[in-house]
Amino acid sequence: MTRFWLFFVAKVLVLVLVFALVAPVILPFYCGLQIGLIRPFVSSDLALRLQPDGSIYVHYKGHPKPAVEREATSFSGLGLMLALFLATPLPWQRRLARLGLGTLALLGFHLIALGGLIAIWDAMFKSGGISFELRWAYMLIASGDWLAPVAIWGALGYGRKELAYATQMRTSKSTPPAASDWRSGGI
Amino acid sequence: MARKKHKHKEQSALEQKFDAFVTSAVTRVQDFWQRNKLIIRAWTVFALMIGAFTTLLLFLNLYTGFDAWLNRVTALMLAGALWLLGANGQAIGTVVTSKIFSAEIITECTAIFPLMIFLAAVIAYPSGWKKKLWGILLGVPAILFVNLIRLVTLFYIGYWFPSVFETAHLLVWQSLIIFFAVLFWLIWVELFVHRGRVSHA
Repeated sequence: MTRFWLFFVAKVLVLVLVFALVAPVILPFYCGLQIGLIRPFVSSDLALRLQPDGSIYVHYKGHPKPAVEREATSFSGLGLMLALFLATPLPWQRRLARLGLGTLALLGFHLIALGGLIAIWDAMFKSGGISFELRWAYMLIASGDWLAPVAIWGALGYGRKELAYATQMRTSKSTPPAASDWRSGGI
Repeated sequence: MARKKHKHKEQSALEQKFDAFVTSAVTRVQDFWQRNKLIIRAWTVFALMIGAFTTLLLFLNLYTGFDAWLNRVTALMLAGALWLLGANGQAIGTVVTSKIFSAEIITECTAIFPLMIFLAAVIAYPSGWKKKLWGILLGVPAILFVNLIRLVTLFYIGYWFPSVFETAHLLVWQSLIIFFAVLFWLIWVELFVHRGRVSHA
């Protein structure tokens, strides 16, 4: 069991490091994709600009100072999620299918977060202050940036199986699964 | 008359079909619920806990200055660790100085977000309260310790390899601290929840 966990941790560490190395290439593309997808839904008063490092700047037309700055590193969760999916010992076909689905889900979250931040800023700009609800929404997005990659992995990769075992345990009271059972692959 | 009878028969056949459809749909939903209720409950509790922690944190930050206090405590812990390592760490408010590197501690540098995820996951996972308490008692200090290691290593990276500091700070360690929170949860599940079930069986 210990060897299994150590191997899993080592794989995630290596994959996170590999992502950090290729991030300067991947993040600008990923953020450019977000801009392309969200542009039709953003008010025509606002312009979205992609920085060379992949950061997204949103500013009111005619105002050079960005209203919303979404740093490229806000998307570092993408690396963690890719690492978790790739390190999870499922058959490769299933692993890649879930990786694709997970990436789409994370992109969906990042689009909602970017849209949310723009809406919060716009409401703040128009009302001249920030309300409790806006602060709360901002805080949820901030928490979501940390949470989304692991929650998506948990829902699509590991968590479902773990909890399915827990369900089985409660109903059948059979022998509980060991970490090694996880290797065999699947839901 | 015959046409009326035929129409009535057709209507009752349709009603029967509709009844069968409703019954099968209800059975399917019930089956799905029976098979997945623990999973659905766990994810719902997890989402609610994250929402509750976020709201609580916002209230605390707004009305008690909790974030400023947390930043100062983290700065003090980091300064203490650097001092122990011989780097002359000192905390002045939220700014940590040492003979190798200096930085200001902000909320993202603290372990608050990984702790929120870990606590929500432990509370949501189907297990007894004693096991949850053990998870919290052991997991919280473990996450605080890993966060301290993160901050100390970042100081040394900033000193030895300043060109990779930003990458290590924002791309590597930010991911890893969340990973460690999840890892500690997985270890808790494996050691306390599953192993506990073996001994009770």
